[in-house]
Amino acid sequence: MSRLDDELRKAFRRETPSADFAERVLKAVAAAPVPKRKWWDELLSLLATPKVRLVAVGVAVSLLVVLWATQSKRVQVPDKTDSRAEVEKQVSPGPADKNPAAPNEVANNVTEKDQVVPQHPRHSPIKPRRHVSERREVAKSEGEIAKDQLMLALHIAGASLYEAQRMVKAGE
Amino acid sequence: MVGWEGTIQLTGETVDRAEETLARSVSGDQLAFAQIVREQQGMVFSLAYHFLRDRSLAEELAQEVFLLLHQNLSAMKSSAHLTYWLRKVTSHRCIDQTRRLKVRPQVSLEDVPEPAGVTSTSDPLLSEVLRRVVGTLPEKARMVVLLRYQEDLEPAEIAEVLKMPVNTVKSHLRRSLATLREKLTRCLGEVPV
Repeated sequence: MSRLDDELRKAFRRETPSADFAERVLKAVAAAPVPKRKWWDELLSLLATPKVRLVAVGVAVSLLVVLWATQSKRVQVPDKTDSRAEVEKQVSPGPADKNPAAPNEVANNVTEKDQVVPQHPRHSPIKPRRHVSERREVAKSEGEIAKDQLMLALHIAGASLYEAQRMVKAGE
Repeated sequence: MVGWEGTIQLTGETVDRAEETLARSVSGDQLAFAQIVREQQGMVFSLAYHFLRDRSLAEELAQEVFLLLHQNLSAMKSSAHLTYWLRKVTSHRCIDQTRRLKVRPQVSLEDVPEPAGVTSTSDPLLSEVLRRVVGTLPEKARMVVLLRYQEDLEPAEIAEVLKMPVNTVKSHLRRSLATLREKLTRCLGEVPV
């Protein structure tokens, strides 16, 4: 370090302002209009506390979980109804071609519970994209529903056949 | 590390006290703010005074800086950040003020009083000559010299405060010292090397 450096340090030593400087600053601060704080500033200052920040993150995460659960439930319910309706549409015999003898009885045997009105494609909910595992599970459950539907359809068909045979025998 | 994180190294207790004062001040405690003003007024006022070479102008500027600090207290992350912020705002305000008012002390070498005898260990006359000669430097170079010798900052820290490349700071320092040596030689006949 050169002597010039030392001399410069001595020349530029810190100096003190007049004795009432701090007092004047405080007076000026008190007289100055308080700037209006924006709502996001208030929010940010609230979130500055670590505890509040943790609580906010916790609330946000739980809200997301609840939202996700509700949404996934809503997506699953119309899927089952749709597949069931499709299976019934494919399996249930038409009134004219398969059983022309007793169309009314066949219709009576099918309960209201089993009758599912197929939805118009325009009104059906939009199916979100799923992962492979999720799709497999859905396919599995759809298969089981289809099996149940097939068994029900066979049962109905059997009952109709029996009824028709009985009527034929009675006529003879 | 460059910037306000690395500018101040204080003991743990002092830092804790400073942080506590800052926290109280942010929450609206005027006494805590007054304490901050008293602690920092020397730095802010000296920078302004050495730069502007006018006591009343320097006090006015320092007051403005503290007012601005009061309005931005919530943005201060720590006491080190506060000091960095004050240095930065004071430096930029000084440069702006000089440009606006065209206050550039043009001291001719003839105006500098002839010293009787050069030089003792701490020569007030030499100090005055140095202050006057530094006052003739361009704004940025003058502020670089002040931050280097008043605040004892490293070139990287000065670069951070003045938002300029480190190499520019170094070249400002080199050129300013060369100018000082040259002017002192012409004025005093010898240079304190």
